[in-house]
Amino acid sequence: MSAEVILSSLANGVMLGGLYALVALGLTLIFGVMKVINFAHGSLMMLSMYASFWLATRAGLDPYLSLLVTLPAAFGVGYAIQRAVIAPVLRAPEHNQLLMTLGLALFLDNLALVVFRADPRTLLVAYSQTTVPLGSIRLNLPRLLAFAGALVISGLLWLFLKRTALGRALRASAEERDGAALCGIPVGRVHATAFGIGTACVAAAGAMALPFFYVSPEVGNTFVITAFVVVVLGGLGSFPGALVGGLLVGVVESLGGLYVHGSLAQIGIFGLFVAVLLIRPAGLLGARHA
Amino acid sequence: MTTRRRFLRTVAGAGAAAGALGFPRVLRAQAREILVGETHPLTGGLAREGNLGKQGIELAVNEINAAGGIKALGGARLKLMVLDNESKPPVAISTMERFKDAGAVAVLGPYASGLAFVTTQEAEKYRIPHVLDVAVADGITERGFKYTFRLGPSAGMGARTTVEYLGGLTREMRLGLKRVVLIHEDGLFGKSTADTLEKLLPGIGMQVIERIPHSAAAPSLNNEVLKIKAAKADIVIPSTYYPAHSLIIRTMAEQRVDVGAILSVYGGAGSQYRFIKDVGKLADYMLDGNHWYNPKHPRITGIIAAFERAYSQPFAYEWMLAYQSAWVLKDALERAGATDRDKVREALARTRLTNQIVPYPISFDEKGQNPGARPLLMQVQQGRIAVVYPGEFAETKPVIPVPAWDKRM
Repeated sequence: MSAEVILSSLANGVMLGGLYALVALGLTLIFGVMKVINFAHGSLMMLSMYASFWLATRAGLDPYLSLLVTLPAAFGVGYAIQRAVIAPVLRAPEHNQLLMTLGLALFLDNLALVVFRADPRTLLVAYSQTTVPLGSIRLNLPRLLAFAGALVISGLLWLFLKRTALGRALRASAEERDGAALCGIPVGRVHATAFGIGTACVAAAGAMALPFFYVSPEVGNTFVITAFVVVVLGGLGSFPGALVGGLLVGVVESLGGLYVHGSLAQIGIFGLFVAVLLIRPAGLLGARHA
Repeated sequence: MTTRRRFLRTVAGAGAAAGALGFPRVLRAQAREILVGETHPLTGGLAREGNLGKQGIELAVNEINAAGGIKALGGARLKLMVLDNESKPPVAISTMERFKDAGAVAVLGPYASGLAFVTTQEAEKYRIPHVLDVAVADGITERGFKYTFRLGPSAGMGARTTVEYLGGLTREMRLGLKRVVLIHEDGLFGKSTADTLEKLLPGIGMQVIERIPHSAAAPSLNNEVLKIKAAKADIVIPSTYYPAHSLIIRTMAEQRVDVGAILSVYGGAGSQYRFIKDVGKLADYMLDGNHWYNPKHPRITGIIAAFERAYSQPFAYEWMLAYQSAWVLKDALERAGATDRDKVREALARTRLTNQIVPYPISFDEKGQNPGARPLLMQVQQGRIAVVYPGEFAETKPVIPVPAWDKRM
């Protein structure tokens, strides 16, 4: 296999890995703060992709600019979903929470099937096929932008969690829910905020994937199943873990796909996954006591 | 929806007008109706294709009724009983039972092979003639069923004929295209098509230098496309589902992977207007061997225009085959002169239709397959799908080798 093919595959893996990381960040944030596994994450990604798609085709809004609309909207939707659906089952047994988010996912996916039909739709923008030469390989501009966007958003989120009062409240609620409440932190609102931010993360990932992918009612699964692996690999609830895990999974999947064909390409990811769980059960960067 | 309703109103209006003119035969005819079952996936994963099929049959039945129904049965009108099989074989089975109970004379549908495997089995059990619209899997007509009739080409016939076309084309155009790369989804559909092609291609002097299986749900097909580039292919043949197909073309354009031709067998994308709408200029020059109409048929322009007016959808072969299937049944009812299911089956078995909108005569062998059925080879040119081979149906000449990506973006 030529060096060009391997390098190109590596670059593609890194760029896709950035996107996985962003999807995983949303998941891990929601889990870290609420200990809820959000199965509806992929459905929310799909909805945001449709939102960006319609904004682009109907209002002529560039998918990156549509983030100005979809991010606040996604935050609002996430906030509302947490308040209406997740909060009531927060102290219920774990399987009830799982069923709740799974039910939400099924509801949203089927709603999308009815409203948007099963047809996949592609958004072609002027730069969809634009490539940036890097040495002997060509990087697809929308993928590169998605990678850069994922890094910027992760960085901002990191600063937010470390430097702001709300960020500290989020971390405190994650660490010790009842203790945080006793200190006067409005835990309910903080939870809803975390769900809103998590939804905004996946919405950003969706909008940035749109120029190089397609949107269909089941598109979320393509990214989110991998994101679940990323989250567990990096350590449930671990912020840097999601980033490292995302990049690692992207690269392993892409390079693995050069040597192992088709659906088997994912064997690398799951092999890695099992190995990490055996050697470091809390994930690569997970808290040791977890 | 409104357009369909409007269309139905127009047709109903036409019928009423004919009645008002006072033809006694028409008036008598309205007293009698022939119940025809139709099972299609109107919801679920195949809803798009199923609804196209339903619209095609609706169009045909409206035309048949407006033209005086079944003349051999005193102008009896066809009455459709449409049931949604939800893209699920178990539901498709139950629709057949309901057709039996309701007394349907025959059943049309059900678009997909997975559904047809069970509906034909039920049709056999209940002795109801079943005219298939698309459902290409070879096995459907390999079970010795007496009540199954498929007017279009099977998967194997489609692959064989498309490869013959490719061979004829490269000979006639003196193209030195030899190296073929097969890129296919790694499920049953993609793999079996690739197996068939790998056997057939050496017969026209072409060599499969690489097979690239891919996952239908892959988030990126970058690796696969890089392998095509590394293989220095002359021809790329994708056999995969629509989303992946579209992604392969986009990635090939993005990585500027230039090949002599991209051709698919029942690939769909190259013969679907939604593909052109979806990827725009990138769809140009795609070749596809698929179901298509005879572009030289005098009635075809009018039929397509009527469909597009009624349903605001561009041409799709799914509705064309469904439309044709209703006319096949109409012809059999005329010759049977009865609504007895076995008499209709007998008549169907003796079908000898020529001059249809499909580019082949329609008759059925002892397995219920139309032996003369064949696909045509189409190429997308300037956003239009044109028949390019064989010569007797060709609307224009194929453009091969295709221009480099750099020259068209």
